[in-house]
Parts: sequence; C-alpha cells; structure tokens
Amino acid sequence: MLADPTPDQCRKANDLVLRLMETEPLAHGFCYVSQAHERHAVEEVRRCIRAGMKGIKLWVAVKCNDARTFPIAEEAVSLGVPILIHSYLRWEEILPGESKPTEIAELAARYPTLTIIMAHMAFRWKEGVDAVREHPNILVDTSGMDPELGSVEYAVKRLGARRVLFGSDAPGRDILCQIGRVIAADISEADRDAILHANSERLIGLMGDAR
Amino acid sequence: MIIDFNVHFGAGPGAIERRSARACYEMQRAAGIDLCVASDLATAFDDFDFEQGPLPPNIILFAGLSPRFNASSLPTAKGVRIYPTYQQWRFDDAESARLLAQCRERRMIVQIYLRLQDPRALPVSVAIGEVIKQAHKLIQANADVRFVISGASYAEVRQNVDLFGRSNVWTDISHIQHPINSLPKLVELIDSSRVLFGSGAPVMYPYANLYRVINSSISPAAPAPILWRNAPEPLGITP
Repeated sequence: MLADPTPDQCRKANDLVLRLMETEPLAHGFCYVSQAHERHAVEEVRRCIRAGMKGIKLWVAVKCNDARTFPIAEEAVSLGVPILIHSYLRWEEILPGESKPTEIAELAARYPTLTIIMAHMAFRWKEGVDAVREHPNILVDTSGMDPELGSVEYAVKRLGARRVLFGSDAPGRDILCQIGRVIAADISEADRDAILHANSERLIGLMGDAR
Repeated sequence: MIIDFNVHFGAGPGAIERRSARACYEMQRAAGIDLCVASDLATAFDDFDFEQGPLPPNIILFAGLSPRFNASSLPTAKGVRIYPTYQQWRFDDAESARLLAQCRERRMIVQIYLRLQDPRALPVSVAIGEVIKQAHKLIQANADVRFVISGASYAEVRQNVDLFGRSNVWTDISHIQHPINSLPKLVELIDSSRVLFGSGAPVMYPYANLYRVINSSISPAAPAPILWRNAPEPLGITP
C-alpha cells in the first residue's frame, strides 16, 4: 500500500474496484482518494460515486483535520456517502499523515451531517471509542486487531450497536477470527445482527436493494 | 472434546482485573471448551506463590515461571511456561539446565511464549527473532523434552519451519491471526499433528479461535487433531 499515491495510482486502483463490482454483485466499492490531490480528489469521488461506489476511503497521505480534506468532506455530504478514515494508534510512532481519533472527532464536529467510519476502532480500542463517543456521526469498525476480549462489548456499550460495523481487515487478517470475535461477544442477538450486517446495509443503502 | 492449550488466570502485568481459576474455567466452558491448559500469570511476573489448593475440574495446571524461579518449589504440574520475550532468560546458563533437567525427569512440557499480550500491558524486552534463535538452540539440544511454542505468527512459523516442524515441538494457533486463511496456510507448512488449539484467553475471546478452526477450509480430518487429538500426547494423558 502506498502512503502517498499519485492521482494516476488512485484512479487505477479505483478502476480495478469498479471492474470487480461489474463481475461481483456483492462487492460494493469505496473510492480511494488522497487529500493531497485536492481538485483531482473531488473529481475522482464524483466519477466513482456516479459509477456506483458507495463511499470514500482516506488512508494516510494527509491528516483528516487538514484543510485539504474539507472539499472532499463537503462533496461526501452533498452526495450522501460516508467517508472511511484509517486510524491506528500503533505502539510505534504513527505515520505523519495518519489520523488520530481526536482529529477524526474534529472533522466530525466541523461536518455534523457527514457520516464518518473510523477504521479499526483506532487499534487501542478504548482510547479510540472514548475519543469519538460524543460525535454521533462517527461509526467504528471492528477490524485491525487481535480478537481482544471485551472490545466489541465496549464499543456497543459506549457508542450503541448502531454505530459499530463489522470489519475484517482482510486480506491482512484472518476473517474467521474477526467474525468469531463478534459472534463471541456478550451482546444481544439484535446488536450482533446490527454489527454483522444491518448497519452496513443501512449505511450503503442495501436495505431491500440488491445493489 | 476441545482442549485449549493457551489459557491464563490470575493477575498478570497490566491486568485490569484478577480472574480466578474458577472464573476462567467458566468462561472457557461457556465457549464450548472442555479442558484448559492454564497457569497463573502472576507466578511468572509478580512472583506470587503457586496456589496449592484444588483447581476447578478440567483445568490442567502448568507452572508459570520467572527467570528467578525456585526449582524446589515447583508445583505438581504437567508443564512449565516461560515468557522469554518479556523476561530475560538465558537458555545457556545453569538455571535453564536445571529447569530442563526437572522437565525431563518429571516429563513436563516446556511451553515457550513468544507473544502474550500487546505492549500496552506487557512491554517486549527481547526481540522475538532473537528469542526464536535462542529457543531453537535450546530445543535442538534437548530433543528428549517436549516443547510447545505459543504466540508465534504465521510469518515466524514460515521463516522457521525447521524449528516448528521438529518432532518435539507443537505450535498453538492463538496468535496466528494473519493473513487471511492463516490456518490452511499453517497446516501446509507444518503437519496438522503438530498444531494445537489455543484460545489466548483471557486476552482474546475464547470462541474467536474456535470459530476459526471449525470454519476454516482445512481438510475435514484436520480440525479434530487440532482441537483435541494432538494434545494428549504431549500432555501424557488419556483422552
């Protein structure tokens, strides 16, 4: 994965996803853009969402509270699609463009009608969940860490199950351990269903809709 | 029958709460696990004395040791656990030789932990690569002692197949979390007869790794050995 891709590399990556969506009806793409490209990023978002993608993915080129993110956030609000933002409070120094949960919270406060998914519960899941708790427009996904006891329950208790999405982080991680974590969690069956599929279906408009 | 080779109870480093052996056992039972190979983490890290009282049924006790262990106070146990990534063990000194001699004499397994908890609870003091190198020498030099390696990643197994494939070494799957399809990939590297089920509880959900074994695309014959058939041999028990 490239920390600082060129516009051409982003476009090629998105084209691959669009081709996959043509052949795999269960694949729902998110458009990968870098805030470093500003105007190109917004145009790429428009192209990909028009072609059927369901959201936007920001990785680590630029922090999400940088002003270069704002045009993309405004486009996402205008198109009614979520932005997924990578966040990973690793034990080593985080990457220069990697967003902390507090920085994602800043973006959420600036755009309260924008839906943001904070990936990986920021890895240090208690810190991550606590940092975004007061922002109902931030959801979290469960991916990116070992199936640590209590992690799913903590997110459900602090955020409510409607703000928690299942994520596997495949192919980097073993999907089955990640599903097993949600199945093992001490939560209600309704909450489990919400996490494993209903929240995502609602988020990307799949309720009663094949695509 | 499911045997979990990687469970801890007690309070260890960074533990938020102390889990009694009973609480640990009940958690494992609720996940569908019948027998737990378990130890008190506090005896290895906090120099707690070994509890000599009765344990809940179906817990097989291992003794968690620090490098300052006293060989004369070892409890009656099926094996010992050491944590050389987190504590400075010298595998070539007289203490290690005494430990190996005890294990040989009492037919105890030596379970070597490469990983246990993440660094928020337990800082790494010796690089895992170095631990593997030292452990390899130890295991080669003690071919008549049975070793279980816990906390290895798939990448580490792949890079050290000559160690993990040895006939006196078993590997538990608790930390083999990467990449996708890690269990089928693991049993391509080492024979499934050398693989043990370990949940990593209570750091990890006990059921998460169990779900993986049950649902992995491994040969239909492979889950039973991993979940229970392989464990009795190193444990020296009748299933």
